Amino acid sequence: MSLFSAMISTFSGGKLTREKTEKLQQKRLEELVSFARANSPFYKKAV
Amino acid sequence: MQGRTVRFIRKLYEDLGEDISLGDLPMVDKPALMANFDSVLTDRNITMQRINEFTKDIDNVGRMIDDKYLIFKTSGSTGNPAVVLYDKQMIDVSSAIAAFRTFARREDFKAFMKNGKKTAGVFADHGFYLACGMSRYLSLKMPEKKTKITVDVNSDEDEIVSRLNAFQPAMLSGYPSNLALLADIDKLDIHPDVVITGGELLTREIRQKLTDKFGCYVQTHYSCTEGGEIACECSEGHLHINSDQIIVEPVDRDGRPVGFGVQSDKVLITNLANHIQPFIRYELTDRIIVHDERCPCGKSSYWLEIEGRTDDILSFGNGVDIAPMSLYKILEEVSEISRFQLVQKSYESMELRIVSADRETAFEKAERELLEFFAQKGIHNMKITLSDLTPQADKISGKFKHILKDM
Repeated sequence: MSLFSAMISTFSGGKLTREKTEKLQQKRLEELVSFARANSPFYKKAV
Repeated sequence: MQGRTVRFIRKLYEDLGEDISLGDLPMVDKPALMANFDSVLTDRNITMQRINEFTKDIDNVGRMIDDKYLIFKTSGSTGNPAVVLYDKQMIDVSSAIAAFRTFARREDFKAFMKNGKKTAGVFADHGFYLACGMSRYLSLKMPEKKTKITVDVNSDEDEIVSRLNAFQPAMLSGYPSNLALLADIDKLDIHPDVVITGGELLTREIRQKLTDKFGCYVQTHYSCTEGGEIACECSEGHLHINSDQIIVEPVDRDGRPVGFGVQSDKVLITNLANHIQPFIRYELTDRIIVHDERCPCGKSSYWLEIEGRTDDILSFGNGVDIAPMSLYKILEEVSEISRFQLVQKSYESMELRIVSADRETAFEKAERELLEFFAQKGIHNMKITLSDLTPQADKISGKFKHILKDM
């Protein structure tokens, strides 16, 4: 994500409904946890 | 990796399936993440050893290690130190939130822009703290911009005043307890368009005092180094959660969720923006209430109230008051100390409670730094003793203070 896309994303993210925010949260949570499990021994399911 | 760590990780994530549900993820806290620091990071080239080398050089504040990550250090309300890395995405998201959500009122933003975006931050300006680290990062990135200064909160009072008077900021930011002390100084003659506090609870009394002194809108925000900007204030004085970038779960002392309108015992945060050092269901000791009522400001996000970190302002026989953050920052810099608590017992005596592998060396350093600081404030007869006690939470409230008055 570049600074420009972070700006766009944050600007638009502030205007979402609660339902859309929760969907966005879930998507980002899945990305984060998948990334953590793939790259962090601490967060990995099996080492 | 040590066998004990491996077993800990297996246990932590063994029940996770492919569909991720937040409530199924385990909670983590600062001691666990710091004890497993290297294995938590998602970049195998970064280690605590390399970070310790990098942060030995104070000139690296605001510079990226491997041109990829900013490093911050914090202690936080539990007293255990933390090292936090921000990746590029986290830095960009923090900048974006600062740009779009910092100002509670549109008119203050317009006035700030009109008056040249001159920003003065009164913070600790000598370490790897979030405020001065981000400020220096931006200064190094855009050296041509002269619209931002950081004034060291621990510098001489006359110096603070003269720098602020000369700069005439459109925005003044700092710890509320420090700004409250500055507000008592008659020769401080600045007229900011807005005052934005952070780092401690902005009480109603301090908000009013700053409003009276500076004649402008005074607001705050809720942030921590691990989570970034958690919530930003709106025109109704409500702290709206930045739910697109962070998940906030108010829970009781056993980690069970509490409902809307109910005060939590602690908070779990999940930082969705920072991938180098994942903070997933990470425990903060703040007590909050999350509200689902619609806010008249028009924002749809949930908002919260916080019972914040409230260390004590210390008073002395010569009439000098010292904000807790000044002493906190001095003690946090003593690398041999892993936890601390400074207790004022009288105008002339203090007790230092520490956790350290080398208590004598740690105390010698801390005492020297503290006495030097007190001398600068005209307090020359201070006696500091090393306590046999470890830092203690208040027996009644259960809240922990790093700096407290007990006299």
